[in-house]
Amino acid sequence: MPTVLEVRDLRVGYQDSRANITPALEGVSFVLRAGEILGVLGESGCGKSTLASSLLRLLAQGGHLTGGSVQFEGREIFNESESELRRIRGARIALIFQEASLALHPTMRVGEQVANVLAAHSTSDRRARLDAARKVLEEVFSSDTERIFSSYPHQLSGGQRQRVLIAQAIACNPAILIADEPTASLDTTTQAEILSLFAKLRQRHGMAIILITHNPAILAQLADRILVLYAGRVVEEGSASELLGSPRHPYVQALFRAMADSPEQALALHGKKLPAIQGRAPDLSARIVGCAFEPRCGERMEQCVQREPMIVTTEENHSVACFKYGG
Amino acid sequence: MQIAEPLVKVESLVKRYKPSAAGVHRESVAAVDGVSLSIFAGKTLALVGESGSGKSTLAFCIASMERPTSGRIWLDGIELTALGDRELRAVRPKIQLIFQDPAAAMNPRWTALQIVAEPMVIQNQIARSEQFDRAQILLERVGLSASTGSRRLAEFSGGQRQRLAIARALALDPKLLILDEAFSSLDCSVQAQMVNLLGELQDSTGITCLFITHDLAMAALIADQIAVMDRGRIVESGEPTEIVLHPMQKYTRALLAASPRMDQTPAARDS
Amino acid sequence: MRYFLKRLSHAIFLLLGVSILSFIFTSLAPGNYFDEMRLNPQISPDTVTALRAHYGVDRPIVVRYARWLASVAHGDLGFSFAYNTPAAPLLWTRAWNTLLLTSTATLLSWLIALPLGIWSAERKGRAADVAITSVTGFLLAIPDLLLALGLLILAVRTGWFPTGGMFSVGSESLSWFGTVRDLISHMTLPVTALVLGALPLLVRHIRSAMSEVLGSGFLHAAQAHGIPRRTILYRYALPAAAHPLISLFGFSIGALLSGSLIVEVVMSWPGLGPLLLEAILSRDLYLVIGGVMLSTVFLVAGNFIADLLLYWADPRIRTS
Repeated sequence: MPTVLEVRDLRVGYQDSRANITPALEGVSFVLRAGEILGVLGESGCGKSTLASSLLRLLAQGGHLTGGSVQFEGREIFNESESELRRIRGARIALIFQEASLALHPTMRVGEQVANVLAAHSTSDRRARLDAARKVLEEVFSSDTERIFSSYPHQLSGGQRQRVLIAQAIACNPAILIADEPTASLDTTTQAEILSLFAKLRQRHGMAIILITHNPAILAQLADRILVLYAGRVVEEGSASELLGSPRHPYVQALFRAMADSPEQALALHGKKLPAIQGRAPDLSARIVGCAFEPRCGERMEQCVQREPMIVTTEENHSVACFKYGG
Repeated sequence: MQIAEPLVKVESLVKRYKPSAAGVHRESVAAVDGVSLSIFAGKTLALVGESGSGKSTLAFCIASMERPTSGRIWLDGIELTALGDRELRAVRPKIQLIFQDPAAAMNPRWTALQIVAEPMVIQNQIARSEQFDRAQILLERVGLSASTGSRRLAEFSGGQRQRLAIARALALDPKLLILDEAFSSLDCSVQAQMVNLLGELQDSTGITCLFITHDLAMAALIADQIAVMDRGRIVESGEPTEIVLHPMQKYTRALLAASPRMDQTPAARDS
Repeated sequence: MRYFLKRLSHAIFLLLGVSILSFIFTSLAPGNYFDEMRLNPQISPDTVTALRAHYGVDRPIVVRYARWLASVAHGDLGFSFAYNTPAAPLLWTRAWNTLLLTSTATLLSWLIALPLGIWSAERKGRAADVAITSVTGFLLAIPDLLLALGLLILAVRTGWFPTGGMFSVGSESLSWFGTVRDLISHMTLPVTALVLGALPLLVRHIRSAMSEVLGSGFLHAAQAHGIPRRTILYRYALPAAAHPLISLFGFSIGALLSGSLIVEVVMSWPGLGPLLLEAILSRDLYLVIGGVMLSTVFLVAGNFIADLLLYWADPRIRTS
């Protein structure tokens, strides 16, 4: 499979009003191959949303690239002109936001909003665009497309709004779809529907998907490969079955131990104290020496406080940043 | 053996909303449509259902924040639905609600101590100096260190804010704690911490909980009893093992099937 | 439809209320047109008494109000003592002139304020924004009257623009095009005074409404879809900020109207302003009330238009 996106040693920080830079990503590297679903697993504050927006160079105010590169189809995203980037955004790399209720224009009909994405990247006339928008909506909705087409966002359910966001994202048939917590605000059954929609889209269009979430169980359902972020760093990467089945990094192991794999397994944990990870993720505004997980790690060693572990390949399709494995 | 009376008893509760002015809904909508349930003291009932199932409306009725259209509710032997507004006001502190986004109900300019002491300040039944001493104790009880008392809301993470909300809810010694999707937007590792905290609090204070969630796994982890709610009715209820291992209703089975699982085999994924 | 009827009934109640209040106030004010007449030695007291009876001024206020309402129904708006004709025709020509001035000023100030406010909001904190904010802050501090007088002095000194009236002497002989040009040159000064008076408030409100919207998730999302910046600003952000802006539009009509009454007097524009002033000074009761009522009608109509715009712009109002 050819590589569509290559991220090398990406470093991003946010500058505050006193010109201090707080890092959010501290050297993230990975490759995305055509048609694969890459899961990015991380908890709040680990930099996963920053990662999503840096891939489109859409950093929030104060955000800066402090190092590294993002190569898309042989072009460097951080060297492109603003007008070149506009042509990539939505057309070649599309982003699906977490809160569908916030990501849709409140007073514009949904069909129009899908058509506007098409308008931004084509010269076809209005009627053709509206027809095309209808077709895209038909792809993500199994029925009722005509009503949804002329609805306003507030007339739709949460799941329907999320589908509209997906329709906007796939409208121009992009090479990469980035979904940032696409199901966080949805019910269990709606979540399952949206996830199977992603699987269907990948199959039909062959687009690569980056699925960003804090919930490993979502990735179990969908991802080919998983990247785990902690404090702006990649701590573990591997094929989904490898990483979920036998995680290596102490953080990932502890994270999986602290949660029920399924409702059935939850029964077994009922009434018992869960082996929760104590404390919270480090404050990134203070410089971190050594391993970022060290203060919460149950297996810390002497060298963990001295320097940061390198990411090393432990077996085929699996690499870890921990001294236990020689990092 | 004498069978104890439940702490909370709800009998054929109905809550209808008036049709909207535009006349879209001709008939009034029953958000809660004939619900009966009991929660025994010190136990946790999980109410599982999806958005729009009426579980939050039911919680509002039990917390006496909404008047039900019909039906009766008892708390600790007192029939809430028979009380007048003035008497209800006296009972209401016995029931505390915690929501998904606790920060919305907290003043961002106040310190953690002020936030936790607020209900005591409003009730003003104990001396000022004691109020803040007690707030300090509450902070520690929910796992926030003594030094956090002087911090403001912006300095707290999502999980810590939820701890703060629990500390504040405990300030008036409630009998019943209602948690409405309280852990839903937290990270998995933080959820585990909160589940442990809730367990510890129940052990030490014997508080009764109504835990509202759309996540069956979370319900199975926490609850002594699970009630599955769909379109205003409780379609199935029982012990977690019964509900999870032997679901009787189609709706419960659908919820189970949709629950995300870590143990999904690659074969199942690729199909 | 319900929405319109509700708004319309509000408007009618408001007009009734204003008319009652202006009746009460004008009758509470000391002196009337005929008191002044009595001071005139050439008019006999009998004539004055007869006139009072003729106009019904000696009747109780309720009766006068009822009579006035009846005359409104006939389209007369009462009777002017000074001009000795029904008030309506007098008012209409003047009202038309005021309307011309205010609507031009409203249109122009919005056409300037809108892009300026948006531009300023987009560059929040940068040099252009700081400059706009300081200039509007300065303008905001100057009273309308001072602004009009200053412009008048400028016009007199430079002689660039006519300083009074609506048409030049002998403009009747001009061609159609010439007449319009003459009118525009006469309008320039009062319209400039009005626009300068209204602009700072508009720019500032538009800026704050827009900058609130500019942080919205859906604009961020639109950017991520590669939608061009101009489209985002004018097709996405502006409609989203429409709610406060449309309310502001209704308010600005009222502000410009009351501003124009002053500016008209200063610049001798033959609108309602000078007529009202004259009527007040001579205690020409019904002319005052008629003038007040017409201004109120403009105001109410402005707000009604704003409500209609709101209804049109916000589907959430339409569908709920």
